[in-house]
Parts: sequence; C-alpha cells; structure tokens
Amino acid sequence: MLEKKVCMVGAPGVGKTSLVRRFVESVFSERYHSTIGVKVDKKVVAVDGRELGLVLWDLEGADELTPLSLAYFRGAAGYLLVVDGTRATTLEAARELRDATEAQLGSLPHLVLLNKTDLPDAWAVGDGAILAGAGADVRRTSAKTGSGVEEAFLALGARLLG
Amino acid sequence: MTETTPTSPPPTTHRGAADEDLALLRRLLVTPEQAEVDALRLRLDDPRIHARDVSGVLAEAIVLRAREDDELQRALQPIFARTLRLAIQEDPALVADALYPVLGPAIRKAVAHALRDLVQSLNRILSRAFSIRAIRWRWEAWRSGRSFAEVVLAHTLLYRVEQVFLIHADTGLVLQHVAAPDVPTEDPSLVAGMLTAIQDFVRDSFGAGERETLDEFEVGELVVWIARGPEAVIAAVIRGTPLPIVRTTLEEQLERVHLTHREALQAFDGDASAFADTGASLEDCLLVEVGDRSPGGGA
Ligand SMILES: Nc1nc2c(ncn2[C@@H]2O[C@H](COP(=O)(O)OP(=O)(O)OP(=O)(O)O)[C@@H](O)[C@H]2O)c(=O)[nH]1
Ligand SMILES: [Mg+2]
Repeated sequence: MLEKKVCMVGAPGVGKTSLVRRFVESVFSERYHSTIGVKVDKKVVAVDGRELGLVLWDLEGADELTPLSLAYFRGAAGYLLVVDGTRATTLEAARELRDATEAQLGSLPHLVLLNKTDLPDAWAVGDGAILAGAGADVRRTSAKTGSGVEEAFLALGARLLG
Repeated sequence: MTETTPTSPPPTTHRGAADEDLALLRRLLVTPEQAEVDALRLRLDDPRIHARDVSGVLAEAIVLRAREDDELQRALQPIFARTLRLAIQEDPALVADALYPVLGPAIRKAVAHALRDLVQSLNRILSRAFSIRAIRWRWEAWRSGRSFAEVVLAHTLLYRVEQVFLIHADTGLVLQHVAAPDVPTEDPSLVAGMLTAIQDFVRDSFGAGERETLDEFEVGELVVWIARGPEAVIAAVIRGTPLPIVRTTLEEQLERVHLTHREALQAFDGDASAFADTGASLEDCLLVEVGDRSPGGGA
C-alpha cells in the first residue's frame, strides 16, 4: 500500500490533535492536552479507488518554525495548516509558518483549515483571505462536530496522489 | 634540334590559358577527393568532431594499451587521486554514502577479530555454569509443574529480538517489518514514525550532528537498538540484554539493503512494495540467545 507522511502544523491550541482524533477515531474532547514533541497516527483512506495510508505527524503547536519542527517536517509529502477561527493571531502565525516552511523546503501540497467553525459568534478570521493567495485551498472545519474534517483529509490525500 | 630550351618565357597569354586548363583538369579529376580532403580538414580542425571520433575508439584503445603495459594506469593514477580529493572536499557526504556498504564490513571485521578471544572464554564459563545449575532447575520445574525447558528458558534467555523495522530515513515511513512468532505487534507504521520522531527530537535537543544519533534506548522491559545508514534505518525491539552480535547483524543487513536497494531507497515515494524481498534480511536479525544470565548468584 502507498503511504504518505503528512504534518499537522499551526499555533498552539488551534485543534490539530482534535482534528486527527476526529478523523482517526471519530471522537472529540473539550479537554486540552497540549502536544509535546509529536504524535504519530495513521489512517487508511480510499482515493479514486486506491488505498492510501496517511501517516499523520501531529506536531506540537508553534507560532514560528523552529529547527525542531523543521526536522519533523523532513520527508513530509504535504501538510495541513490549522488556524483557530476564533483567534486572529493564529492566522498570522499560520502565514509565518507557511512562508518559513516554503523558504526552507520549497512548496508542498497543503490545505489551510479554519477550525472551530462551530463557534460562529466568536469568529475572528473572516474567510482567511490572507492565506488564500498562491492558490491555497482554505476550508472551514470543526473537530467538535466533525464538519469538513474528513473532506479536508481526503482532499489532501487526493492532492498527494494527483 | 632547333627545339632547344627557350631562353625567353613563353607568352603570358599562353601560360594563362594553360593554367586555366590545368585548374579545370584538376577540378575534374580531384573534385571528389577535394570534398573528402575538406571534410577531413574540418574533422581535424573541429574539436567536437575530433572528440566524437576518439570517443568511438577510446574504450578499445584503453583496453589495448592496458594489455601491453601499465603506463596508462600510471598516467591516470594522480588524476584519479586528485579527482577523488576534490569530490570529497566538495561533498563529503556523497562519497561517504557511496563507500558506506564497502567500508562497514571492513571495519567490523577488524573489531570482530579483537573480540573473538573474549567471546570464546566467556562461552566456556557460561556452559560450565549452565550444567551445574541444571539440576536445580530440574528440581524447580518438578516443584512448579512447569516444563524443564520453560524453566531453563526463563533463567537463561539472554535476549530475543522480537521485531525488526526497516525504515526510510527521510520520511520515517516503514519499508519492511518482521516479528518473532507470537509477538503482539502494533501498526508498524506508527512505531516507525515514532522512532523517527524520537531520533529527530534527540538530534535537535542535544545539538548532535546529522550523523550522530541515538542508537539505543529502553522502553519498559524492552530495548530498542537502531542502526542508521544514509538512506534507511534498521530498528530492533529486543527483550533482555542483547549481545554485540545483534548490532553487528543489524549493521550488516542494513548495508546489504543499501547495496541491493540503493535506487529504490533514493526514489522511494511511499510505495514499499519494492522492499518486499528484504524480509529475509530482516529475519536474519531475529536473533535469540540463551545462556546463563546470572553466573554468580541465584535466580
Ligand atoms: N469548539 C471547538 N473546540 C475545539 C475544536 N477543535 C479543538 N477544540 C478545543 O481546542 C483545544 C485545543 O485543541 P487541541 O486539539 O489540543 O489543539 P492543538 O492544536 O493540538 O494544540 P497543541 O498540541 O498545544 O499545539 C481543546 O480544548 C479542544 O477541545 C473545534 O473544532 N471546536
Ligand atoms: Mg496537539
């Protein structure tokens, strides 16, 4: 079976771990356990009738690219850049992360996820237009309700095979 | 007799006509050759054509000359030496990677030689201790209702390599995985990923260079031994206290894989099917050793 390494990146607390848990185990928890280092998970998806193993590296949250996160990034085929839709600063962090990553590793397939879309009253990032440049695919997700989560991982999977 | 050598040159008109005729005659006679001569001159003048011509016979020429004497080798030797030095200066990793499968065995052979005597004397001590305690173990087996073999194994299992992972160095994806019988296993992809992440972490945290990495650590009652090559990593999950032979074997098999699968390793894009045939190499690493775990004291 084909396997691809995919990184989850973004500022602390934006919901990277929650998105992975929703996608892999179909569960959600309100409790916040900040990730230390990295946690590796895997889910097999079907893309165009082909099996693809997504090996998900859920990195610890960071506002900027550290040497460590760069080391974790090595060998990734693509990544999901996660923003907390209720905190505008995480949008800015995402942009810096992406710029730094592309400067170091070149352009990789990625999607931008504006997460926590189940909290519309607290929404603070609009449509995330500053990340939409360069043809990036910007979507809304909620790890809590599951809205848009599976679709996002599948869309990245399709990009990795296409 | 009147026709003597003319004292005065012939009339110029005459001579001019003769020259023209001659030129015409030459053209008629030698035009085909002329074309060939021109082409030849071009060949000699144009270094590119020249090079192409020489390239056609270069290999044969070298073979011929090498058969006669070793002048050629002597001429090329300093050039090779200089080229190699330059290549190493420019990119040491490139040369190290290329030499990796060759150098490993040579170094190991030297070390193994030094260790052999030590190992032999150790073996002798172990086997003697084994026979003295055998009686006690029979007694223990009888008393506890377990089989003698079970008791012996419990006392004497030095180590057992339970799982071996072949991991792509760059992506941390698993290329091949084998396990000893009856060993419960996790999804190898996850283990391979975490092992790689741990290495990344250690390298970053302790500021170690690209080539220095964690090569063993403990997880509960298991130890993990890791051997790294330029393109792939072998990790063994071991119960007990492994002997150095385990590391040697891991390194040997890793070099083998680099030798036999170099291109597949470099081109790896997530499809591990090219590594299906490395299973036998990994199984060679599933070593088990029994002996006396505690030669001095009780169990
Ligand atoms: N309402 C809501 N809460 C969410 C959602 N996703 C995550 N959370 C909450 O946000 C908090 C942080 O979630 P995590 O998934 O741990 O965030 P993270 O990005 O992995 O954090 P770090 O590992 O520290 O970088 C937790 O309390 C989650 O319950 C969401 O879609 N909606
Ligand atoms: Mg997390």
